[in-house]
Amino acid sequence: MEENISLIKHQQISKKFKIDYNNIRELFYEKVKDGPDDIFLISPGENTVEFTYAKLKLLIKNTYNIFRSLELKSKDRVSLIFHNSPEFVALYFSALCFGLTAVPINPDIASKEMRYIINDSKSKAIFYSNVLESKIKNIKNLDDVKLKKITSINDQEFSLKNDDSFEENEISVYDAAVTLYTSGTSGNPKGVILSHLNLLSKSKAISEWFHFDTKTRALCILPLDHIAWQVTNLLSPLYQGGSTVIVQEKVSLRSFWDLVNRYDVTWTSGMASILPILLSRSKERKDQTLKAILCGGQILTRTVQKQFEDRFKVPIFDGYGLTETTGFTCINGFPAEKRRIGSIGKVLPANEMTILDENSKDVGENNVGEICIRGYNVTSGYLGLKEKNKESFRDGWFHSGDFGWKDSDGFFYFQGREDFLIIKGGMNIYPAELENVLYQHPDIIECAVIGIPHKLLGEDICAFVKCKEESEVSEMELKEFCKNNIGGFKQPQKIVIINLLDDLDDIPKGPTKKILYRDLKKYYMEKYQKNSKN
Amino acid sequence: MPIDTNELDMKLEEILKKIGLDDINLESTIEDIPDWDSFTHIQLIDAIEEKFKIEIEFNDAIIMTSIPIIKKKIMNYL
Repeated sequence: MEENISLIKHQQISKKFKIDYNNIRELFYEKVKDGPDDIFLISPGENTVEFTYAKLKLLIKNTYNIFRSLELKSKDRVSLIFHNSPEFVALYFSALCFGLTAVPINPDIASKEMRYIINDSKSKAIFYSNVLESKIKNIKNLDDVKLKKITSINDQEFSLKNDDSFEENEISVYDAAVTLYTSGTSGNPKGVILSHLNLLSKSKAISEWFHFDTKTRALCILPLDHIAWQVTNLLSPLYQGGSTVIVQEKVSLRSFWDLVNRYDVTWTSGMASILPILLSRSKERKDQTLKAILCGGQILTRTVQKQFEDRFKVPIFDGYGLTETTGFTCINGFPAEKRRIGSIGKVLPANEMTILDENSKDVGENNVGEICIRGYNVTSGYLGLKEKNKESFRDGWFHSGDFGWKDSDGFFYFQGREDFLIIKGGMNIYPAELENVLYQHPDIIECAVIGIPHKLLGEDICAFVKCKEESEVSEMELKEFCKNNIGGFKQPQKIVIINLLDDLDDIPKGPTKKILYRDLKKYYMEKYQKNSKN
Repeated sequence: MPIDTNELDMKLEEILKKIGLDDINLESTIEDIPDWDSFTHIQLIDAIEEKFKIEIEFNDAIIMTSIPIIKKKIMNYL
């Protein structure tokens, strides 16, 4: 990377950390030079797809033709709506190498939610999988945007040779590489801008933390529209010349051990919720290659960790991070002997972390405060949200809204969130997202959404609704209403109609009429959870 | 033992109902049905194995992402 780079305040750190490239294209091209015939990607399926480094480079160059035919220019944003697939990987890297900003969108969210992201990001084009065509056609009122359906990486347009005389666009380390949408407290998701610097620093840090090399083979079982899995499963193996196996995320878990065994997988990452699922199955491990599993996004319980490690003999490494920090900012020590069980680990070399009080003063060791982060991996800010940026990035730190503490040896511990964010199977959902949908129902006067414990997903969703007196709407009808208006993973598991309760008249509120989510959760736990096995 | 398509459809519908994929029809795909997630996919393939007394290879399990493909694959095992 260029010397004397000028970083914004919350990206500056006091320790030394060298970034070796100016952008993802430089990194990728260097790896192509090092091992053109080495495999970078395997996508098992009816027709298994394999990309060597050289083949992916060729595909990337050919994809430039498609970009140019759509009159896309450097720094334009393009939405990518795919399940995990070789098509997504090819378009993702092509966009980054061309100088576009990729906006990967979760294909399971509702069409309305997709429209918000596409319009808010001012995407110039949408690339989508043909299997999602009906959903894409349902996106109404799109601003001026070009639609490009992709059926297969084997389509002829990916094999049309690029004009070699075309000069590569200049890409600065500060240029936005991806913009990812994460849940917002107001109900609308926020676009987090992540630069080439963010991606490079984090992929270097993680690949070095876990001692990746050219023999590293990651298994990607979670959706690549999420930054944590992009970095851990695509970019970190790339940084050291390794490879990755990707599978449609919804089918990967059932075949987890078969995939590890068949493809000599050495490393994987995912939500802690995958562990009890694998434990619940009778399938045993046959491989001798898997060395580590990195877990994040949910609290990892010690019992599950111990049961998993005792049975499968693979160490689990807990970590913590956010979209705003390009995923993981701290990870438990590697190798396994360096771990402190119960901790979210130590700070990665690309960033610093501290615990601050409400006046941005360091609370010291063993005291609870807000987890704050700064470093090369921290976003420059949210797209077009000035006020939110002022609130979240201040005093030289990114304020995460999460609470925790650190011990005298530098290990961090996660305590909880301040703003009632629900983390269901690793997906962030703010109560307001579902509340906004419920308020559109003509019978609902008032509602509040809380997270409730779930043994596999960590949390699930429960909505409390107060309906008009004359209303006869049922829980099933309200669930049906939600199904039509919000993405699958944001559907409530339970809807409690307050009118039908004899011990609660209203949604609990404080003196300023602010909903008391904690009281509501307490009510739920006492009434419904006491005898539940969830 | 080979079965006819009506019996296959009937048994499959029973499985889908049992695992909570009520909204699904015999043309549905994993992309159309938000409730068909990774946990449901495990339940689905396990239930198919149990109902039809077959053992599905992993390379089939990862492509059984639509009801037509599932039907075709089951037929291959019977």
